[in-house]
Amino acid sequence: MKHRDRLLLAGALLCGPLLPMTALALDATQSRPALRVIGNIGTKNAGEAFHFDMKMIEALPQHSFTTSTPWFPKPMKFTGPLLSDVLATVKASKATRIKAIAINDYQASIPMSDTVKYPVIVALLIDGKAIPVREKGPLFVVYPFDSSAELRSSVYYERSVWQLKTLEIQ
Amino acid sequence: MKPGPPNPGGWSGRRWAMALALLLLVTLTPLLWIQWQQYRMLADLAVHQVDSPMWQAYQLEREAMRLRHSLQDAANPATTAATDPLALSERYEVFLSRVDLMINIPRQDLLSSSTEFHNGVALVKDFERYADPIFAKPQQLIADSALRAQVMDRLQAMDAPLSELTRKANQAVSRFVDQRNQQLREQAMLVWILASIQIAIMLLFVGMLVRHIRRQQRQYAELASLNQELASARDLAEAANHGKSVFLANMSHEIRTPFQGLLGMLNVLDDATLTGQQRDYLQTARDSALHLLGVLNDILDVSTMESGTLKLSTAPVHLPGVMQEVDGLMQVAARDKGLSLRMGAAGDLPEWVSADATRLRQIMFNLINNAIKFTERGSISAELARDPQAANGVVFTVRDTGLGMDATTQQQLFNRFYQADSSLRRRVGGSGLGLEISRNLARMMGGDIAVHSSPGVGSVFTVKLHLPPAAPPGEDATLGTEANAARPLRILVAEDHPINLKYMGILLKRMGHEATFCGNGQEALALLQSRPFDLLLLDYHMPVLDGLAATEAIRALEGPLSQVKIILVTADVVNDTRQRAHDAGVDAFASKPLQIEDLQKAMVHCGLMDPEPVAASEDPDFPHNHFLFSSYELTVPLPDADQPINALIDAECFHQMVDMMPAASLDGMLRSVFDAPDGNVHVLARCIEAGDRAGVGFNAHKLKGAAMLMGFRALVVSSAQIEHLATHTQDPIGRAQRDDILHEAALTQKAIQRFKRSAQHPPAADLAA
Repeated sequence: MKHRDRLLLAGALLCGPLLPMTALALDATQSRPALRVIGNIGTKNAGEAFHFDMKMIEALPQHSFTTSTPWFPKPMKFTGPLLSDVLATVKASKATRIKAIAINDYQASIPMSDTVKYPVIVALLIDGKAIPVREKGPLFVVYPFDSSAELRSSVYYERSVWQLKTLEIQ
Repeated sequence: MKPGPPNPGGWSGRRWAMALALLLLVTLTPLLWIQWQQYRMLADLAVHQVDSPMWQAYQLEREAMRLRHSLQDAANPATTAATDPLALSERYEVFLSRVDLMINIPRQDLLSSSTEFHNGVALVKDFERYADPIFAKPQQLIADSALRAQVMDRLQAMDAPLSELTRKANQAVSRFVDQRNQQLREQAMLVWILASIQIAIMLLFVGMLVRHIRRQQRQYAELASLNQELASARDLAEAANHGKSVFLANMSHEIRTPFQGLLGMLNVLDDATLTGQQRDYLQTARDSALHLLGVLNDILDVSTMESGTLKLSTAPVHLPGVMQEVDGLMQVAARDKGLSLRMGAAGDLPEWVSADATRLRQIMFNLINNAIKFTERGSISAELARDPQAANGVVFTVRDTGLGMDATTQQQLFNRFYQADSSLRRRVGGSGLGLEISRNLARMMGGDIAVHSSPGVGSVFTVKLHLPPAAPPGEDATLGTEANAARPLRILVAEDHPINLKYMGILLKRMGHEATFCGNGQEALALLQSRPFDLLLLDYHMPVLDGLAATEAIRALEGPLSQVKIILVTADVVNDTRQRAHDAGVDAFASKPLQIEDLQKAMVHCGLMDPEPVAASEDPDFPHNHFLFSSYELTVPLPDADQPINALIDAECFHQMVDMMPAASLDGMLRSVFDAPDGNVHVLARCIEAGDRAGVGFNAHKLKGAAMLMGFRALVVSSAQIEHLATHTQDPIGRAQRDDILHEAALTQKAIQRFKRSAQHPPAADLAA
C-alpha cells in the first residue's frame, strides 16, 4: 500500500469511531458531569472514567412507568433510560455488581442480574418534570415497585438510590 | 339398654353439634382477626421500615454539619480557591432534600405529638427561608466572609435542636417498637388462650367420641352374646324336634308291632268257623283296632310332616282306578247316612299319572268323609278334572249340601285339632288332624286346598294338585320267572316277636309253604348255611343281628347262598329305611301287619310266584301298605279296585256259605230273605209302612241275623240300625229307612249275582266296572 493511502486509512479509521461519539461529546460548558461511571468499563472519555452529561443521558432511549414509593405520598411517573442501556453505553458487559453512590455519599450495591430481571431506570423526570437536587434529583434509580411484590422489600428500597452521582462498576 | 347416641346433660346430638360449632366460631374469629392484623402490620412494616424517623433525623443533622464544614472549607484560605461554588450549592440542596424527607416521613404520627419535632421543623424552615436566596449565589457566599460567618452561626444554632430531634426520633422509634412488641405479646397471649380453649373443646369431643365408641363396643358384645344364646336355643329346639321325630319313629315301631299281632290274629279268627254273632263281635273288634291304627297313622303323618321328613313315593297311578276305589268305600258310608254320593272324573284326564297313590287317596277320603260327616241330608259330589290354569294340574272338587261354615270357621279350618264346634266334635268324631294333613299333602304335590262355604247351604272344597302324566308300568314289571305259583317254597322266617311268629306261621301254612323259624338274624345266617332255602323273611328290628345287617352278611357270603331271595318285613314307613334296605341287598318289602296280598306281591317281585291279576293302581315295585290308611277310611280292607262288592258282601263269609251249603239250600235261603212278598226284607218294609214298631224291631232283628250269617255287611248295618231305632228309641222310622233297606237289598242281590258269576268262571283280568 502507498504511504499516502495508509495515512488516509488511518485518518478514516480514527475518525470513524468518533462519528457516533459526536452524540456523546461532552458539553464543554458543563464542568461537572451529571453521572460519572468508573471501574470495569469498556469505554472511557475522561481519563479512567466515563462522564455522562444530561444531554447524553437524555439521548439514550427513555422509558417510563408509574409506581408508588415509600418517599412520595402517591404513585409518581418516573422517566429515564434503562440502567442496562447506560451500562451498555460504557460497555460494562462483564460487570457483576454496580455500586451506586449518591451526592451525600450514600452507597448501594446493585447486582447485574437486577438490570436484566427488572426494567430498572435511572429516572431524570418525575411526572414529566426535571428533578431538582432538593427533591432527590437530578438522577434517581427507580425500580418498578408496583409490578412485583418481591420488589417491595428493604433490599430493593435500599438499591433505589436518589441524588445519584457515581456508578462504580465491578 | 337402649342403644342410641350418647347424650350427656340431656342434650340431643344436634344441639351438641351446634354448641360446638358456635364455640369454635367464637374462638376462631378473634384468632383470624388477630392474624389478619399482624399480617397487615408486617406488610406495612415491609414498606415503611427503610426510612424510619430516626434515620431521617440523623441524616438531617449530618447534612447540616456537612454544610457547615463546606462553608468552613470556603473560609479556609488554603482551600478557598478549590471550593467549587456548584458543589456548595449542591450541598445546600442536599441539606434541603433531607428537610423535605424529614417533614414528609411516612410515620409522622410517631413524632407529630412531640414538641422537639415541631421546634426542629420550624427552625429548619426558618433557615430555609433565610438561606435560599443566599445559596442561589454561591460565588458571593464564598467571597463574603461575613455572610459566611452569619450562615455558619445560624447553622450552629440548629445543632442542639436537631440533636434533640434525633434523640426524640430514636425514642419515638423505640416506643413504637415497644408498643409493637406489647401488641404482639398481647396477641400471642390471646392466641394462646384461644388455642387452649380449642384444644379443650377438641379433647372434650374426643372424650365423647371415645365414650360413644366404648358404648358401641359394649352393645356389639351384648348382641354377639345374644346371637350366641339364640343360636344355642335354636340348636336346642332343633335337637328337641329331632329327638321327637326319633321318638315317634321308634314309638311307631313299638306300637305297630303289637298291632300286627292284634290284627293278624283277628284276621286269622275271621277265617275260622264262627257264629254270626261271633262274627259280628269280631267285626266290631276289627273296626276298633283299625280305627285306632288310623288315628296312629294320622299322628305319625303329622309329626313326620312337622319334622320335614315326609316324602311322597311317586309311581304311575291309574286315576280312574283310584276314583273307583274311593267311590266304593265311600258309597256305603254315604248311604248309611241317607246321602247320595256322586263321583265323577272328566274325560280329558290322563289315565296314568305320576303320583303317590296312597296319599292321593288319603286326601280324597278325608274330604269326602268330612262332607259325609257334616251333611245331614242331600248330596255330595266329588269331581276330578283338569285344571285349566295349570299345566299338568288336576282339580278335585267336593261339594256338599251340609251345614256349611261361617267365615271365622273357614279361616281356622285347617288348624290342628280345629273342629267346628265342640258339640259337633263329639258327635262326628275324628282326630282333628285330617285337614291339616290333607293340606300339607296337597302342598307337597304342588297344589293347595281351598274352601268356600255358606252356613246352611253347604261347602265346596277345592283341591288343586300337580300330577304329571306317566307311562303305565310296563309288562315286565309284573312278570316273574317261570316258577309256578303252587310250588311250595322253603321259607326261613326270622322274627323275634312270638305273636308275629305264630301269625306268620299260620299265614304261610295257608299259602301252602314250608316255614322254618328262628329268633334273630344270627340264627338265620347259621340256618341258611346248614340247609338251602328258597326265601328268607327277615324282620327289621331283631336282637343280635337285625334285618339289614343279616342281609349284608348273607350277601357277603360266597357261593349261591348269597343270592337267596330276601324279603324284609318291617313296620317302618320312613322312606329312608327302604333306601337303605335296597342298598343292603334286600329284594322286596312287606309291611307289618303282614297280609297275604302283600306277601304275594313281594314274592312276585322276587320272581318266586307268577303274578295274579294285579289291581292296576298298585305298583308291584312298592307294595302298598294296606294299613297306612287314616282314621277316616272305612274299616274295611281294601276291595278289588273295580267292584264295591266287598262293601256289601263279605267275600270270605259268603264263600264259606256257598262251600258249606248245597246250592238248593242256598237259593232257598236267599229267597227267604229277598223275595217278595214274604222275604224278610219286604216284611220289614211293610212293618215300617204300617208303623208297627214291634214288628219292625222283630223283623229287623231277624234280617240282621240272616245277613250276618251270609256276610251281607251292608244289610247287617242297616238292619241293625233299624232294630236299634225300633227297640231302644222313640224316633220315627219312616219312608227313608224303608227305602234304604229296599235299596240295599237290591244292591246286595246284584252283588250276589256277580259273585256267583265270578265263582263260575275263572277270574279274568277284568278291570272295567
